[in-house]
Amino acid sequence: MDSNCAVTGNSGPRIRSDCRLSLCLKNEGGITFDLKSKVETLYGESIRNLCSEMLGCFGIANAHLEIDDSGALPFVIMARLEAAVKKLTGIRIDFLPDFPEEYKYSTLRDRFRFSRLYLPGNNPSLMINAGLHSADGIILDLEDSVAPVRKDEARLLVRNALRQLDFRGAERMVRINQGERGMDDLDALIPQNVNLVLIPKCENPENVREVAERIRNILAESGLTNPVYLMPIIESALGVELAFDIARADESVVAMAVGLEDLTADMGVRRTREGNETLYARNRIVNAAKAAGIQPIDSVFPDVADMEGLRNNVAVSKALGFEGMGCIHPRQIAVIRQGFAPETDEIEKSKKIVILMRMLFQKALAWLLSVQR
Amino acid sequence: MIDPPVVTRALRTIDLAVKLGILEPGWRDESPAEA
Repeated sequence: MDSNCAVTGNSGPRIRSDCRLSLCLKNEGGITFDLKSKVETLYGESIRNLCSEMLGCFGIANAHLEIDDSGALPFVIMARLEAAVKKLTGIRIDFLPDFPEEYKYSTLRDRFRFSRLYLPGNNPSLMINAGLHSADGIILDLEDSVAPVRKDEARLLVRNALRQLDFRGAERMVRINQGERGMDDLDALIPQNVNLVLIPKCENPENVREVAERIRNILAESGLTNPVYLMPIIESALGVELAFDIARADESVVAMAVGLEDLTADMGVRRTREGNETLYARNRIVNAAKAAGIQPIDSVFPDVADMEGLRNNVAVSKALGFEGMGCIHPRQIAVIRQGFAPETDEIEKSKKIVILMRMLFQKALAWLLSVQR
Repeated sequence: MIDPPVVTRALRTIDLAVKLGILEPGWRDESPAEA
């Protein structure tokens, strides 16, 4: 690849709502385009205008741009072009799409987090309609689902998605990367009204404090007031042993999740359907979370075709004390939500207790009033 | 005697059921036990 050229994005027969973009810087000739798109007649001119405007903002006067478009929305094209420009020039200017006020909603510390849908951070087609699935939370994932060489362009895509997509009240979540890259993720994404940050492979309270401190600094610098909560993910034997300290590491921690794929790998055991190999870890994480007053959240169920298996898994999870679970496919959401909802006999028993308490209170009040007379 | 955690759990379950739309918010007013 020519050092004056950069390629970003995706194309191919199975790619939707994305584009592959190749940007080559030139010394002369102005801005030239080679646009392949099924919607060129309708949108060709606006795509070219958008790219020309962006290149102008980045100070690029001479370049050749090839775009293989598979129905990318403007925020996707913007992210792909910005990533290509940054690869070539290292420029630090951001080109941000609009951010409607209605997407700047806040969240509550103790809201339900039954289902949280993971979406790969470099795949726009899965993000666009994510809000329609009614998950409690939508996670734009920058960690395991993104190839190392695509991390930077995924961060820009996620940033733009947070500004442009309607998640319909779902908690706006991001799973950041580990280490310094994760700190860069926070710098780019916290100003885009992230409600909750998932901290992967959390092994000690310091991991949490570092993230919390960075977020507080970003919020203070940008003058934002919506709270940003944390959900550390425990994915190692050491993390399990330190779960209580992690749960209490910072006041912004509202939930703690377990990641069983990496945990079983760390323990050197095979993950089974029964899950006996991780029973201790899951019990310990639930206990630590409850003791710290936060929500324990279970791992994802990996077989998206096995709905009966998922139903059984949710029942076990609820029985252990978990209050929610990750999803890797929208079809898992309804089963998880239904599974974590209270059962009829549980509701009836609770009604009786509440009624009894109210009667006792009324009797006590009547007695107090009679004594005072 | 009713243990406080039992009451807390009951209140939480009711709250959950109401928020999920399983239970009507005015269920107490319709309850025969309170009539």
